[in-house]
Amino acid sequence: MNRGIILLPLLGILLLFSILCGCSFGPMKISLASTIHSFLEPLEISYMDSLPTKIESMVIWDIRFPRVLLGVLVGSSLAVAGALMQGLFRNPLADPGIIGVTSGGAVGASIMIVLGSIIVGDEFVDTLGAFAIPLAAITGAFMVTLLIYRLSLIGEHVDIVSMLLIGIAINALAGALIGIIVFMATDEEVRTLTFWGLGSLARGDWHMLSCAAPFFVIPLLFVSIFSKSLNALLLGEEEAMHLGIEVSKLKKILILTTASLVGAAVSLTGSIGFIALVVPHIIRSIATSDHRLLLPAAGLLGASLLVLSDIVARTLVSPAELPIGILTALLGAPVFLSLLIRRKRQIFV
Amino acid sequence: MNRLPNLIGILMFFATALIGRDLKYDLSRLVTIGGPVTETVFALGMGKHVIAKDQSSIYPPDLLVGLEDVGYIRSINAEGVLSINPSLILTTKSLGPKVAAKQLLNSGVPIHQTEKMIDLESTIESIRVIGEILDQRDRSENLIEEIQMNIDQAKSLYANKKKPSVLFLMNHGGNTQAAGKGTKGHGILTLSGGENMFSDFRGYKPVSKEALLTTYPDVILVATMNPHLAGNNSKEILEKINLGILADLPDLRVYAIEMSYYMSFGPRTGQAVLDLTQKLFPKQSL
Repeated sequence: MNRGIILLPLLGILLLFSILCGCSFGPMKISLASTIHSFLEPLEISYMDSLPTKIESMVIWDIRFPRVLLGVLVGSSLAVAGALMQGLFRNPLADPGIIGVTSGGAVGASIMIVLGSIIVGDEFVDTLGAFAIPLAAITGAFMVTLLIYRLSLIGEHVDIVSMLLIGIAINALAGALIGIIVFMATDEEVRTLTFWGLGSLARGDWHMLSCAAPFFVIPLLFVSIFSKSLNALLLGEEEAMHLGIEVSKLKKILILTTASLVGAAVSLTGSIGFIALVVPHIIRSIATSDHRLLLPAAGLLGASLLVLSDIVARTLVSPAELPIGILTALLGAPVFLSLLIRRKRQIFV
Repeated sequence: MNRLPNLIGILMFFATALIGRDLKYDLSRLVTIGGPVTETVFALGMGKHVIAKDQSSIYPPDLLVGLEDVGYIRSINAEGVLSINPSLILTTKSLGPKVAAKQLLNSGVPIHQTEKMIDLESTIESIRVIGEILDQRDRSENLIEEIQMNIDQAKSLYANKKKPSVLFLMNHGGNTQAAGKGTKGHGILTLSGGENMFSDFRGYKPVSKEALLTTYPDVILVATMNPHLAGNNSKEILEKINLGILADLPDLRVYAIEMSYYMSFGPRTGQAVLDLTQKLFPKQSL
């Protein structure tokens, strides 16, 4: 815990620094002073003569800031969801992608993009507006999670091995369903699917943020209650049960929490890979596996990492932008490989 | 799916139309997003004002060299576009993602979205609107008249003739798909007097070799990025796309055609339709 005492404040400072960078860097050159000033503007504090222009404050308030906040929410949700899954499976390689939650969300969203007007009718899609696709994705993620949970129940217990294998099957099925949807789609819809699938924070605006925030914030606030139970679970299910933890109930809640976090993230930003895997791994190797520290630290680091990656995504090829999923995969895949290699050494040496 | 951005667009249009009666647009830093829009601006002789375009704008190639690239029309980065300080943005309703389109509409930079150019009517209307905005009414009316003349001429070439059945294939990166109805290729083909054999499905769909053998097209059109590399005769063209087996079909004519010219609507549509009609109805059959 000693290291932890400095770790959380340090990660907090890193996150604030990332947010400030996220708001002050972009394709448009805006001075740091203008950035800070436009944040003080609503408070009617003026400390300098050169006010930011109308377009500058518009860029900072309506483009960069909601985008950075979306990065914070999605980054921390993915990292926390990863830490939860890894605790649940007692395996550092577990990732929400593995049990098919991400694919479930992707199928839901694709169905809404291509078939929405046929299934629920144009009127309904119009009323839902910007919510149609996110809601479909969350529904997809929940349905898949529920299905996996039902199928992997043996008696009263969730069998982890069955769950992983069913996850593989679900991923394959989801791939086929998306294939069918792509086949049925028009040219334009296919393009929407592609850009959606590559992952991007570009859809962040205030309206969407305010609607989606509960899906992220409620589970995030709520997970810290499970830290001690997760620590006990690390010792093994039997041991956790002997320590007085209702293991099957815990598993049920953890699965639903992960589904909500991942479903909400996927629906807003598409599939952004490897954050869920890499961030908890970094925290475990520099500090601790204690979930009381791991969960908040992963949340802070995940948020910073995604916000910083997004700065690269939107400045590297400016005025165009790079899909952020490419960047996180470039960062994450080597870490994933090194984890696998280390495991191999542990087994064979 | 969400009407709000459209509504804002329409309101902005009326607002700018009301104010813009006397106030001319500042054309000093023009950004065009969308291939047909860029093409129209250049066709109206206003290309010299364009400082940036998007990735779907590929014509006229020589004049687009060196222009800033703002990404693809459906995945625009609003701040990226604003960072090059445009004085006017011309684009279509395809602009996306929705959030970025909304951000650009709210940015205070003059922006105009024409209808998507998906058929002859929307193309002519868009050219007219762009002509108004750029204060090039005479030139845009001439352009529209020219398109109409070419299409009328094409129509007179195939009037009272039997329409040939056409297999319209698109070869993109080694992947061959047939054009069904609802595609721009289908639209151009229909205007040119051809009968699309695959008009019972929508969009571009992969088709199997075996299924193609059961069809007896009069003409196969192979649209590619570079028709000069597509082969010199029917057999070569079909072999290149792995359909050499079709070359033995009786009375078959095969043409390799340029994708961007024959499969999109824009200022060159009239000429493209006339060219395609001349291919479909060769001289000897006239």
